[in-house]
Amino acid sequence: MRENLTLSELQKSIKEVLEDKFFRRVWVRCEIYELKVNYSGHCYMNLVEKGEDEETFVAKASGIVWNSRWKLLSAYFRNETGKELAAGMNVLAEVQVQYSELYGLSLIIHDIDPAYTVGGSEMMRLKTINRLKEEGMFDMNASLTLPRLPRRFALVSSPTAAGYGDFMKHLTENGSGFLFHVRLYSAPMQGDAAPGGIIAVLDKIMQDMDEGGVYDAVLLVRGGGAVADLACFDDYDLAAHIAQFPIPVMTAIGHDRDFHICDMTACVSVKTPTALADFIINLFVTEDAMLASLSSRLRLALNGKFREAFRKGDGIFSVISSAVKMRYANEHNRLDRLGLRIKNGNPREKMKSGYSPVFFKGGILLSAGNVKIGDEIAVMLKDGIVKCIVNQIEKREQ
Amino acid sequence: MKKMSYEEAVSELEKLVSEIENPSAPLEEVMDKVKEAMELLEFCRKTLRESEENIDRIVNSGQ
Repeated sequence: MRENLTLSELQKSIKEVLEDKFFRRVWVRCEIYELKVNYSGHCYMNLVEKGEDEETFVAKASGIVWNSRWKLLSAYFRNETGKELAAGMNVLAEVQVQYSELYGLSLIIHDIDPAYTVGGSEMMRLKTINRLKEEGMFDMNASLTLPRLPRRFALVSSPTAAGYGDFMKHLTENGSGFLFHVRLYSAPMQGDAAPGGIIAVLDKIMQDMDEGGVYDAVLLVRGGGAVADLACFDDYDLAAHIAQFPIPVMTAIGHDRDFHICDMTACVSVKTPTALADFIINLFVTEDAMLASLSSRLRLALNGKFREAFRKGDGIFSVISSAVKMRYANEHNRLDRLGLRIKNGNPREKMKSGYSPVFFKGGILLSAGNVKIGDEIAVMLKDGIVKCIVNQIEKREQ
Repeated sequence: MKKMSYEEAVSELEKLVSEIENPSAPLEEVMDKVKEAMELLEFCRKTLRESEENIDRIVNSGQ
């Protein structure tokens, strides 16, 4: 009989070789193909490595995370990445190779590195976001109310930055003729110098506001660029300054695909500088349309009321109308009578009909008793004065 | 002259007319008052006309 082994002896020697070779834990790159947590809380995974075509498998193994470990590990991963561990994820797992005569090869998972799954810079971003949230700053600027019609802006940008020209052209040459007051605060808008430079400019804006400058919002504008150029807008200090700024900050940084932490902590964030100009103009266009609609509704409502009053036919309108006419006729009569009395009282008019005032010693002579024979008196006529000497006085009873 | 209401102007006018009609008023003063009263009368007539046209417009726009 040939030399032979029982199955368990074979398995046992495989186990010994494997455990001898892999007595330490190793880090393994793989994809979670399936993931199940069973009733007892243990997590079972099918781990695979795919070929270059991304479809066929070149390696496959079972992975197990024991109950007590799974609780810690899944919570940590969720906290660090904001995501649940799930099928389809590429992971870097620390595993202990285990071989069982009954169940074959298993990888006992002790740890999974979240940074591998989301990428290093993404990890930094998530850390920054979590820190801002923990410090209570994340939503501070977003909780400010943007004025209904903002028109005075402190624009933080660089005259040479991509997007600055587009923004200004779009805003100032708007088709509706709305006027805006924009003051440029120049700052470096890319690379390592940007966060410090922009923070300095934000401080300057604050100082100007303390000295009486009035702004409705701060605008942070920069067109698209390389990912590395724009990474500065994920800076903790800059995002924190924006979050704590006392008036709304509106950002438009980069292309459609870019979304930075500064965008998250700002009050309003749009994709591109042109979109920001559109956003602002739109606030005015909307208000304008609303006013036009209100005005036309008011006109219709008023017309309706008058028509209603006429339709009622209860005479109220004609009563009011005649009362008004009567009142105006009375007033015209009153003025005519006053006009007549002025005319009658006008000394020049009186002279035309033969009534002439007589002057004596600079005043009007009103009584025959005030003169004596020989006095000189003057009679005023419409075209001249006649001077006379009194030679006879005849008094009459009044 | 400060902008007067119609009622204020008419009441001022009536006062002036009474003064013009007072036979003991000095002649020079009367002449001045006549001039003032004529201006005031013109103002009252203009204000009344405008107010009347306004009312007409409101009533006609409602028809």
